[in-house]
Amino acid sequence: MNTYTNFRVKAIQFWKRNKKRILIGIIIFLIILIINNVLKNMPKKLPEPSFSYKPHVAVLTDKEVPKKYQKPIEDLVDTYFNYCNNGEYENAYNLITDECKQAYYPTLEEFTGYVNHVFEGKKKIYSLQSYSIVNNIYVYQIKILDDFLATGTSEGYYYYEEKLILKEENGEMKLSIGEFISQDQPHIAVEDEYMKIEIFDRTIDYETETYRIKVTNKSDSNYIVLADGTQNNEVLLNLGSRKDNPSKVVDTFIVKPNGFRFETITFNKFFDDGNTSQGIYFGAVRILNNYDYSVGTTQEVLDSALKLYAMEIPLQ
Amino acid sequence: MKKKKIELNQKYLILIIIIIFLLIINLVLFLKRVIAPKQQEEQAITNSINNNKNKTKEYKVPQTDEEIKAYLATLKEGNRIEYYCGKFIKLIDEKEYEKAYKLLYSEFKQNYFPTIDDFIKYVENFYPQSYALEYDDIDRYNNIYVVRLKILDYNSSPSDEPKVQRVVIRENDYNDYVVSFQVVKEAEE
Repeated sequence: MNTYTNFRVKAIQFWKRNKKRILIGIIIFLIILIINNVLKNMPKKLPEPSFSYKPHVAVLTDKEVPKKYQKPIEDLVDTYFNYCNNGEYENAYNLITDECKQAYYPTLEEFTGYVNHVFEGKKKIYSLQSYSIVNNIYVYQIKILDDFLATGTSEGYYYYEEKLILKEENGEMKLSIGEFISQDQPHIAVEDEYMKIEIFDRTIDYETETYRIKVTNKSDSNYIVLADGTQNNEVLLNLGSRKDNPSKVVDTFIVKPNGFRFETITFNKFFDDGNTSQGIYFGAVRILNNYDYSVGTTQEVLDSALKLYAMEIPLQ
Repeated sequence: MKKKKIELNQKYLILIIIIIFLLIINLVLFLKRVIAPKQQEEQAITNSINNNKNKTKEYKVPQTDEEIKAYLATLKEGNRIEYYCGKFIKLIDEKEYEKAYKLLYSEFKQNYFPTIDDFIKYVENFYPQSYALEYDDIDRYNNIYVVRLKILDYNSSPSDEPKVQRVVIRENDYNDYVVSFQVVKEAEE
């Protein structure tokens, strides 16, 4: 038998012995080939449309709110918003921190007034964006607007905007509205031979810090003039690197002999500006024998003053 | 001369079949990777020459939904919104009112144009005979975009202020969007 004949015989024998296996192999190979072709010819799945909207990345710092807080924050804001939208004032009111209620909306009626002002009695939509993160306090910017898609902006193109403050307390996310951050009674007091100055309340919101200050005159004959709007630097907020004036001029911070006076002073200070309030600085304290309210502090008054000095109430 | 017998046992046979199979695969890969790119290169050169001859002739505008989606997937967010906005205005310009009407957000339609005739009457009054569009600004509120357009009327005098139109768009997916727009009372009447 020559080689060719030998090969043929062997091939036929091989075929007979392995016919089944070869056929199964060919079938499997064809199936793989077909699946491969089908997959190759399937329409390509496009990536999700790209969006620049990143609600939990703070616009001021690019820092992201921790993932574990993102959903609770979204849910809380959404629930609060829907209650307001549906006029369920009490339910919405119950979602706000007690501290915020006490400081800004002590009654349900006051809160209802706020909601009606913001929502204008219309169905609104909102847009939420993380704004800044300071000491585990999450500041979000909320824009409350008409449903522009339903109106096409035909009824006006404006929106209401405020900062919502969210923080975790006892494992639960808490919401403050009206840009309210905190309120406390620091019980800070400074005393000298003429007077005692005490800070009773400190209210911090996103844009301001407000202090309620009590000054007690210890003398039975002298007037104490802390501010009457006539001198420079009468009241300043010491921020370390600079001192800022109050948002409104304090012009009647005068304490009569044996008297006391409460004064509320507000300073413009953004919560997330990176500065810490160091103290309240009184730069032109005048101890006078007498004070004429109609004249104020003249040069003559300054010349005859018992004492002129500056003092600071530390806030730290 | 005595021929040497070659005994082909089963192992050799399997080996031969595997080698033949691998050779075929190699040949296919060779043809695909070496010959095909050369052909593509030649084709690209030919295309480039043709493109230079007449660029506009070779530019392919996406036509089918698949092509449009693939094209939109290459665009950035702002460009996609401008595309939708332009598409809507183009439909109006080409008097394809029914198609444009279908793109309107249902609540907006109910509020301002309950019938297609209301819509046609409005757009025919509002848009000039011949005009150009200028994208002025885009604002985003979550998934809603407000596009501010300037409508430059070719027939107006240069001193005339261009009309301003706000178009609101929500993109659900590529080439899947709803539209509404600022209805100006004057044009409505």
